[in-house]
Amino acid sequence: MSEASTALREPWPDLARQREGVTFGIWIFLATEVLFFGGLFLGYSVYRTLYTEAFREAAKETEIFFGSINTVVLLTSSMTMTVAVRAADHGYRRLTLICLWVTLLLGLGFLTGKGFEYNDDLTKGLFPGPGFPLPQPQEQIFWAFYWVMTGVHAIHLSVGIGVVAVVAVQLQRTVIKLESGTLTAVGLYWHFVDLIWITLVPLIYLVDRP
Amino acid sequence: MTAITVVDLPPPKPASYLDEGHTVWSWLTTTDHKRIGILFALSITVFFFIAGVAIGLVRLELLSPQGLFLTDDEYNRLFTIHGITMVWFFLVPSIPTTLGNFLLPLMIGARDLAFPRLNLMSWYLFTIGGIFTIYTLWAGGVDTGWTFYTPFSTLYSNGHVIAAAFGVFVTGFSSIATGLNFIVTTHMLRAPGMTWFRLPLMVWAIYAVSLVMVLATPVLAMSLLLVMAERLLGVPIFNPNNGGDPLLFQHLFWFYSHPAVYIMILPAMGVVSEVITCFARRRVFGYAGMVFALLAIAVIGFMVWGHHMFVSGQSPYASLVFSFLSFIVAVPSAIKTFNWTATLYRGHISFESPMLYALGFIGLFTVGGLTGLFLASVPIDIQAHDTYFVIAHFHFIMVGGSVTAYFAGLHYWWPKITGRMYLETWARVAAIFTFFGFMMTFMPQYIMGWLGMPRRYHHYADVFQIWHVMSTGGAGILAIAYVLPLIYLPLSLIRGARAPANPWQATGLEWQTPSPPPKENFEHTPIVTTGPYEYHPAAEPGLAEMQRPHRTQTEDA
Amino acid sequence: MSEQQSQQRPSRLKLWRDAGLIWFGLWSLFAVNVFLAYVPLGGANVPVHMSVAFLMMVLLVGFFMDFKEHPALLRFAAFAGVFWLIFMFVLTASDYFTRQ
Repeated sequence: MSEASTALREPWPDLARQREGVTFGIWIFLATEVLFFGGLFLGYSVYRTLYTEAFREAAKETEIFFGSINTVVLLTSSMTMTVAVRAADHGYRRLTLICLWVTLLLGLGFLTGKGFEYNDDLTKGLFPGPGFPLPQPQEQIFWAFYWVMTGVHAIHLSVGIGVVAVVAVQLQRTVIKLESGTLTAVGLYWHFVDLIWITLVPLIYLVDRP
Repeated sequence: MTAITVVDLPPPKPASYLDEGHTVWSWLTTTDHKRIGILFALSITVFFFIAGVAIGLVRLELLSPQGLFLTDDEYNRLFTIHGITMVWFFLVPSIPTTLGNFLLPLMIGARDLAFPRLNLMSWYLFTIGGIFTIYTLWAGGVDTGWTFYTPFSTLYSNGHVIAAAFGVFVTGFSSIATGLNFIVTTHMLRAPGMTWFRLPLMVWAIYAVSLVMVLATPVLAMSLLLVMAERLLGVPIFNPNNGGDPLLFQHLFWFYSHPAVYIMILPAMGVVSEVITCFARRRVFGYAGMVFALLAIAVIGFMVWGHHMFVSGQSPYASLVFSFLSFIVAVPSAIKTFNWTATLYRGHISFESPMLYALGFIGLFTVGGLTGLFLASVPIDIQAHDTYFVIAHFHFIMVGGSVTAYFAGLHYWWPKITGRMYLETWARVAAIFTFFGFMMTFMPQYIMGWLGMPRRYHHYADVFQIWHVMSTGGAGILAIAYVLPLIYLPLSLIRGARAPANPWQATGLEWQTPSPPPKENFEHTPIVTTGPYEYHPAAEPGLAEMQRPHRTQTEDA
Repeated sequence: MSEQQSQQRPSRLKLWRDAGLIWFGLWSLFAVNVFLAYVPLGGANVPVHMSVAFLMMVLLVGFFMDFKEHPALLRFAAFAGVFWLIFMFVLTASDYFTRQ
C-alpha cells in the first residue's frame, strides 16, 4: 500500500496510467532527439554527396580499432540495461541494481576508449584548422563533422551515465520504486544513445577502408 | 509531503492556488501549473518590454533618412536584440506557456500537467536562456539579425553571437519540455467523458502547437549548435573556403523557424475561437473543420520553409515546390478565418474588450495572411524580398495576430487567473488603440516596401521618409496601447471587483471552478457530457428551418 | 498480487538468455558491417552499410526497447520523429539535387 502510494505521483490517477505516460513522454523526447541528430546527419549527407572523394580519403584516417571496440562495449551495455529494466519489471531488486552498475561501468568504458581515440586523433593533428595534415579543404569538413557528431554523442552518453548513477542510488535507497516506470524511461534513453552510435559508425569508420 | 502536525483540527484549506504560500520561495519551487503559468507571464512581460524599447529606439532613429542618434553598429544591434527577444523570449512562449500552461489542465478537467516538475524545469531553462540574452545585451549586443545567417555569424560578426545563440539554444529546450508535457497531458489526463471531439479549440490549438514545438525545435538547436561549434572551435561546417555551404544553415534554420511562425499563430487561433464563440453566443461554425485545419497547418507548415530562400541561390525547382506548398498551407488558414466569420453570423455579439481584441485579430490576420500569398509566389517575392513589405507581412501575423490574441486571452481569462475584474473602459481603449496604432505602424511599411525600401537599412532615400514618420507615429500609439494594460491590469489586483466563477457566462470546464481556482483545480473531477460551446441548443431538423435567415426582399435586393 | 507475479515471473537466467541472444545478433551484424568496409563497394557503400545498421536498429528497437509491446500511441510518437526526418531530408534534397 505505502509502496504504491510513493511510486504514484501527482497528477496521475493510477500507476499503470503513470507508467504509460512516462513512457509516452520519453518516446516523444526521443522523437525530438531523432530530429536533433537528424540536422547533423542532413549536413553530413549533403556534404558527403557533394564531396564523395574527399570524404572517402578523410575517413581513412579514423581509428576503426577504437570504433569497433567501443561499439561492442556499447552494445553490451544495452544488453545489461535491458536485463536491468526487465529484472525491475519482475521484481528482481538485486539483479536490477547489479545490471545498472555494470551498465554504468560499460558507459564509462566507452568514454575512456573515446578519450584514447581523441588523443590519437589530436596527436595526428586531425582537428580542423590551420596546418591540417590532409590536403583537400573539404576533408576538414569531414573532420568537423567527426568531432561534432562524436562529441554530441559523448555528451548524450555522459548524461545517460549521470542519470543511471542517480537512479541506481535512488533505487538503492528506495527513494524511487522498482515499479514507478522511471527505469523504463532511463532504459529507453540509453538504448537510443546506442542507436545513434550504430548510425554514426558507418558514417565515420566504415566509409571506405583501404 | 506535509509534515504531521498534532492539532485537533486540520488547518483551513487555502481558498485558491494563490493562497498556497506567499513567499517568493513558494513561487520559485512551485509545481502548480497555474503558478508556473504566472511565472512565465512575468518573465515574458519583461522581455516584451526590452524588445519593445529596442525597436522604439530603432523607429525613432528612422525618423530621419540620415539617422538621429545611433551609430550603424548600434542600429544593427538594436534590431537584432528586438528580433531575438521578441521571437524566442516573447512570441514563441507567449500563449502556450502562460495561458496554455494555466488553462490546459483546467480545460480538460485534469489536476495538473502530466509532469509538474518538468514544467517548472521548463521555466528555469527559459530563465537561464533569458539571462544569456540579457548578458548579450549588457555586453554590447549582437549584430547578426535574429536569423544568425552564416557565414557572417560564424566568421565575421564581432557581436556576442555565442552568448546569444546559447541563450536561444537553452530556451529551445524549454519549448520542447513544455510541448512534450502538453502532448502527454492532452492524451492521458482528460476528464471522464472529455472525448477528443469535445475538446475546446484552445486545447486543440495547444496540442497542435506542441507537435510543432517538439518536432521543429531540436533542428534549431542543432543549427545553432553548429554555428557555435564553427565560431568557438573553428571547425569548418558552413565555411565556403572549405567548400561549406551557407545555404545548408538556412535550410536547417528555416526548418525550425518557419514552423515557429505557426508556433506563434496556432495558439492565437485557439484563443480567438474561445473568445469569438463566447461573445457572439454561438457554437463555433464547423468545429471538425476547425480541428482539421489546425492540424493541417501544423503539419503542412513544416513543408514550406524554402519560401524564405527564393533569392538565396536555392534551386529554382525547389523554389517551385516550396511555393506550391506555401499556397497549400493558406487553405486551412482561410478555412479558419471564414469559420470565425460564420460563427459571428446571427450571433448576439457584445463588444467587451476581449472581443474587441479578437475582432481586431481577424482583420489583421486576414491582411497578413493574404500578403503572405503574395510572398509565396516566386516572381513577386523576388521584387518584395528583404523589403519592408516582408516586415509588414510578418508583423501583421506575429503582432497583429499573436500579440493581439495574447491580449484577448489575457483579458478574457484575467478574472479566472486573478479572481479580479479589470476596468473595462480602459481595456476597450487599449484594444482600440492596439488596432489603430498597429495599422498606422505597419500599413506604411507595406507601401514603402513595395516601393523598394529594403529592411534592416540604417540610412534610406528621402522619398521614404514620409512613410517612416507615419510608421514611427503609429508605433507611439501602439506603445500606449501596450503600456495601458500594464497599468490597469495590476491595478485590478488591488482595486478590482471580485470576479465570479464565470463572469462571461462562458462554457468550458475552466469556468465551472471558482475564480481563482483551488490548487487541485476541481473539487471533484468533472464528468463531461456535452461538447464545447453549448451557447444555444443544437440545430435540429425542424429548428434549422426556423433558424434560417429570414431576409426580406429589400435586403436581398 | 505480488505473490502471483512471483510465481509467473521468468527466471533470472531467462532474462539473461533473451537479452544475450539479441546482443549476439547485434554484434554479429556489426562484425558483418566492419568486414564489408574492407570490400570495395563503390557507390553501394552507403546503402549497404546503412542497411546493416538498419537491421541492428530493428533488433535494438524491437527487442531491447520493447517496441512491439508499446501501445499504438507510443509507437506513433516514435514514427512521428522518423516521418518528420524524412520531410527534412526529402525537401532539402529537392534543393541540392536540382541545383545547377
